[in-house]
Amino acid sequence: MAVNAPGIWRRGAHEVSLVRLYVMRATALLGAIGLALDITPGLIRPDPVGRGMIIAMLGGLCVMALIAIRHPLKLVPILLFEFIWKTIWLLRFGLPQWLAGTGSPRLSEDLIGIGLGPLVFGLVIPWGYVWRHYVKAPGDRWR
Amino acid sequence: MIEVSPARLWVMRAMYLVMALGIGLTIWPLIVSHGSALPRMTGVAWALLGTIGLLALLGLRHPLQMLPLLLFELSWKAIWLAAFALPRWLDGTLDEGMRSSVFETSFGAVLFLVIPWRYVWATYVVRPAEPWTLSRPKTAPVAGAA
Repeated sequence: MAVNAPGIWRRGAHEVSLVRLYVMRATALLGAIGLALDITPGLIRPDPVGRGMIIAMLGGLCVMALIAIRHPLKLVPILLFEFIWKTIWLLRFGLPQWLAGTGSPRLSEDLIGIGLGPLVFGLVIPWGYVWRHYVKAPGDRWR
Repeated sequence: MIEVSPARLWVMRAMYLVMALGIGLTIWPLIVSHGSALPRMTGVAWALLGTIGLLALLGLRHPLQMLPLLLFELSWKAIWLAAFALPRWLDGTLDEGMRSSVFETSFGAVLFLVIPWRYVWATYVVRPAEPWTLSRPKTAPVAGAA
């Protein structure tokens, strides 16, 4: 019987282990709190010059992170979003600016705050699930 | 399980295609070829927008699974209009650049028509959360549990 007993490390009916679901939920919770703290000052007292696009987008991610606490697997696209935008930033902006010495004074702060994202989200994302559901699975019907 | 009609799926795919093409043509050239000296937030903005375009490509094949992307679009645009554009419009400090952004962002209102709301409601609100605990086999009560 022990072989069939559910285990927190075992992939269950939801196709990821309970441990993985909790890691995803913890990421969502920390993300929601972090983003909320990040954008609140800019929402309360908007920068008169800036346009606020970035704050709004981070706010949107914050809303999605709240939903992800309840439905971590359905919100996998948002984890992919975080992984991809931080990877693009690191490869096309952060690293080149760091190598060329042309970054803003806050570049080193960003290299940690954004640049570590690909590593963190790379570990949190259930890649096997992504592969099965977004690559191998047939797409939604066409007719 | 709420069924979503093929027509609706096509409308959603058209939306994803518009997003992918729009961002592919305007933002991706900037990401690919830019100088190394840029204002701090420009890189962040381009990376965020570029990602929307990339993930929209996945939406062509999996429109329903990629719904969080459409919900994200709707929510950030709503936040921007309410928190940034509206106050400036009210006190008359909306400049030319922001005026055109308001126009582009308002286009996001079509999302209200594109998103299958009954499906969203059934999938993200009504349906129970993904598991919080280990599910036990219903037929085999745990010995000694009583």
